[in-house]
Amino acid sequence: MLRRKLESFGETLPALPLAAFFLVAFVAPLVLLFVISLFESTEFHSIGAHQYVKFVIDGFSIGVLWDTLFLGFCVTAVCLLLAYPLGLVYLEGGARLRALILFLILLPLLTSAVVRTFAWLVILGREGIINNAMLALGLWGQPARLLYTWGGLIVALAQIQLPLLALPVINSLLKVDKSLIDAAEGLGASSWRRFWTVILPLTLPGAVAGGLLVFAASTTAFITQTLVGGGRIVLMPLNIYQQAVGVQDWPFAAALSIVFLLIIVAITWLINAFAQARMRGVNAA
Amino acid sequence: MQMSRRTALRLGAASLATAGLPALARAAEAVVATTYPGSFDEAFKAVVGPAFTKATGANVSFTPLLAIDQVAKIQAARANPPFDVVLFDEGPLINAIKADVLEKFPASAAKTLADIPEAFQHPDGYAPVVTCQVIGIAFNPKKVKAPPTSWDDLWKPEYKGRVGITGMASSLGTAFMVDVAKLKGGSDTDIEPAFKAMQTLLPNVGAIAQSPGALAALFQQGEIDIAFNYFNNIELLRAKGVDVDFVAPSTGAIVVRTSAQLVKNAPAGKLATAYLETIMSEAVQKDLEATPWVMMPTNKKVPFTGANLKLAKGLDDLIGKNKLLDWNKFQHLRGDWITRFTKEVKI
Repeated sequence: MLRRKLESFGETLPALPLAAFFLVAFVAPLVLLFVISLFESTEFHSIGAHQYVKFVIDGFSIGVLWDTLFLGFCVTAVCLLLAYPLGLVYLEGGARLRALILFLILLPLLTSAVVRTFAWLVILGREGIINNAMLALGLWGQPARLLYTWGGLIVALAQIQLPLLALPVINSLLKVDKSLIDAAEGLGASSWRRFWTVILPLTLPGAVAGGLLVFAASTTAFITQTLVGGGRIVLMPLNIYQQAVGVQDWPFAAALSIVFLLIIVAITWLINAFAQARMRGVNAA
Repeated sequence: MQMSRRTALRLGAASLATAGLPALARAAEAVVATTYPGSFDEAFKAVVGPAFTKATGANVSFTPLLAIDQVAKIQAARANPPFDVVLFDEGPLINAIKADVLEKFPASAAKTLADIPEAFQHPDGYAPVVTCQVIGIAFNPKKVKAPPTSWDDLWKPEYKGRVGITGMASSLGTAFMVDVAKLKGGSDTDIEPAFKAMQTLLPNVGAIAQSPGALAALFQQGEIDIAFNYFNNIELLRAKGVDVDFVAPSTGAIVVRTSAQLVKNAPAGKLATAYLETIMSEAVQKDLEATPWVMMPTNKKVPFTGANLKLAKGLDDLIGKNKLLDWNKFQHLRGDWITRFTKEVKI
């Protein structure tokens, strides 16, 4: 009995350094953050839920939170719309086309997010590539505002985060049993119906996994949000930065971070639970 | 390849020495100093860095960072601060002194103070002002035909969507708001008139930049035609061939005093003081004053030349006809102002 216990302890031993690292580098700061959020004021005297009440009463921060979540959903939706056609082309393509698509998806991952963001500044600027091209072609009378807009931010973030979704989607597309699609076709299902009733449900795990990554990454993408959104679009990361560094109100900044973290975790958990229920349904059917 | 034991040992020792070098350098041979992003950073790297190495044989590494980020970083690591010398405008300096993260200017270096005017010495013995920044109106002369004369020009309907601003987290945004408030019947502590005025400015605002440097860069990108900004940011862009010019408003430009300060518990010690002395020395101030940096000198022995003559005949004239703000009066209100500005000034 004792021996078996010792053996199982021995098996978990290699995981201990990682667990210790996690405890020190992740859990401890998180606890500290939570403790800071409980202080009533920047003088760090009394403790209470003051900062959380402030968050609820103060309509501004809630608005910012909604905007941030909205941005996350939009970016994820755009990525989904782009990833599936890309994945289907990959599925049908020959070896050379597949290699090319994979290369193009991976290429952006090899440069830093800052560089990719600056590329978008060059593309979207008032004297940027799009505006200059449209003006030169005579299609636009005057330069359009593309930078510092919601549209610009969503497109830029979607391009930057696309690999996170495209790779899992392609992976699950590859795993779909081709005979199921052939069977659906044989039974007279249109290509749309084949997509909606066969391909989409079967690739849902990949889409959900990738979608959650894109959602979490785009809601917290401080650099891209501030550079492409500019000072005109205030989202949670910038709001937290301003409260922590600009205003030096650490308790409120900590409370904002905790709320933001919990909301993101709750949403990912809900979507995951929903997807798992759906998948159980698919498997049962 | 055959390698004798001696060669192997020698190689090993050499690689160990190289690996240990950065740590040694941090301990004694280098000063880590901050600059502001933009023209400040370029000027310090080009002028102050080489001069310091020549004078002391030591190196200095520069980190461009906004003042508010500097305060946050040294406050977060009091015992082992990431910088030896920090650069502060008047507002952040008040916060940093209150947070007790700064060392006073050592009496041993007092001889350098002789050349610095009274207005640029710190009343409580912290390091003196090393340069001042002049805030006025920046504009694109190709688009704005008649040079602007007052802040009111920003509100002109013809600049719809072409005005750039930046928030109150920067000295630039705060100084602008306080000055506008005072001109419109407010005071150092009551800037309500300025917040009201910002609402009527919104239709003209084409971009809200994250920092003064980013605001200046918007001229380069053609995003804006007119904005409030720092003189030396704009002069540097002009020297690079960007269509941009600078005027002081008829009511007077605002002068913001910037000082380099010694950080408490910083490892560089005496070397950091030597770095401050380098910045204040006549030779370095002369080079910083020259084209293209045109940074305002604070050493009385350095005469104004070139573009700086457009603003004033010399140091006394500059202070005489422009405005200094008393940041002690409103620094404690800035937190609320920054938050309110972010909430209300949205386009």
